[in-house]
Amino acid sequence: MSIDLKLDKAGDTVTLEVTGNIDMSSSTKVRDALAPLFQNNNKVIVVDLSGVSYIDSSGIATLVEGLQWSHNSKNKFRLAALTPGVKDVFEIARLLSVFEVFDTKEQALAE
Amino acid sequence: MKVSDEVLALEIMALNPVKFLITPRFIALLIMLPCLTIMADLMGILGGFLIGTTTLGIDPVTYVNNSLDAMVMKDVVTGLIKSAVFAVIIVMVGSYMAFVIEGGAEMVGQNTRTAVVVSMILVIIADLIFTSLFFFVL
Amino acid sequence: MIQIKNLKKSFGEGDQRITVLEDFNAHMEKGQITSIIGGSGSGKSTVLKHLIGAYRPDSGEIWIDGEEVSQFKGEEINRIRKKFGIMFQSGALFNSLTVEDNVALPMREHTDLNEGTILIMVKMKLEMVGLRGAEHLKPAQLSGGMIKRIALARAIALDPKIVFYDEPSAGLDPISIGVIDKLIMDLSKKMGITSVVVTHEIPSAMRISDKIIMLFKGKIIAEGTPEEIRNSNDPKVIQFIEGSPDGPIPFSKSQTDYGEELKEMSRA
Repeated sequence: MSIDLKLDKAGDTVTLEVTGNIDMSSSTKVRDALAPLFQNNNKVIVVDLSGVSYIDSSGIATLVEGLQWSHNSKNKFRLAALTPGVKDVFEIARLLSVFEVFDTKEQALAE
Repeated sequence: MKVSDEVLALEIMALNPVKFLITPRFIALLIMLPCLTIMADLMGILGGFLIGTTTLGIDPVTYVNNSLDAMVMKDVVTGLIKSAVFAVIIVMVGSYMAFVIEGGAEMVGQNTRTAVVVSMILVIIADLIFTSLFFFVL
Repeated sequence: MIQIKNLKKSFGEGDQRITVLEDFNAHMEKGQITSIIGGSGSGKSTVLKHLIGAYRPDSGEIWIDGEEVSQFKGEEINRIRKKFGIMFQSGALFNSLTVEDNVALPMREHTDLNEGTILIMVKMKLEMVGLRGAEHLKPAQLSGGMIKRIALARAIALDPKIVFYDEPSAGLDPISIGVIDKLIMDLSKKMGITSVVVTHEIPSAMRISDKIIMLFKGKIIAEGTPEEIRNSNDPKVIQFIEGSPDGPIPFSKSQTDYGEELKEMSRA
């Protein structure tokens, strides 16, 4: 399954729109796209997951890594528009409360 | 290895047991056996030195000089080559016995004994072949 | 998810030939827990060994995830093996590796994930089995129950669709059994994992299973929900559930008459 990543930069906020499944084979691509965002002066980094219907533990781990990076570089890391399937996986991993999660991309960018 | 399900576990995880269980042992012994040989050689010379100088009344300088004269590079090199060959034999026999084992703890003891006996015999045979090879050919 | 059709297996040669499995049929549904129970020598472990590709059937078919796998070899079998995880009776952890390295092993070998990602995943898996913090221990420092939980964490390392459990509760105390049972149920219900449990622990099988298959001498003698098994009228099933020493399944395994054998002894 291929994965589609789209970056959308507006001022000091940046949105990474992910479409497809985030699994063992595609997690590295998400990671490679995510990593440089923390080095630039982006205040808010939002990952839009509306196009993701399936995520496995490697995908969650990749997002946790993003959280670690944001912790080190002091910028905000937010997740937006989780589909029910993805939300379930986060809940099973008991990691939903660890992330800043928003219902829509707009909300995540607004605050 | 096989008794504790490790071989099966590796296979089921789609991993090659030879790569995981034998390769590291092979490399370890291939490096360590020549090292051990050098150490044993040095200890032998040292032992001769101690006995020779303390009880047989040989002059220490003479001992060292004569030892160095008698020793040629060929001896050291052939010894090291042989030790590498022995390493291959020991790992092959040991790993083979570990892989073909069936049954429980009792078989571990039996197979270990077989492995020791077989590798000892093969090492002696290999020693014979290589020594004569080095002696007559080189 | 898993379908076994007319599986037959025997061992030995000529007169010594013993049929271990005869006409074994089973269907394990997606996201459900199927237990295979039976006494020692009933053939339940043989079924498991067929499922994981360690044995090849004499005849019959094994379908896993829509593929007939019983004749697969080499790369094909490895491809199927990546779809499932297995928890061995002994745990089969690698003693020279720490808990962390044990769980990370399949990830390091089968994926291109970064080390950082892998370590987070290991932590997630250990949290699932309730042993976060044990990363740097060696298997020798763990109790039997903990070894099985780590083995389970390793079994689910690559998010398999199927997990096989070989005697998950053998040799554990009642509380550890309860913990393992809960883990099996949680994983299958929450993550939709198809579970196949081979066990002789009746109470545990009754608690966790959606379906129970009972084997006796290589044949299925009962099949159904725990409720149906409990209400069975088959004396063999009743004997097994109640654990009575004698009944249709005889206490004595000897084939010859006791008196005759004693008399024979003097002649020899």
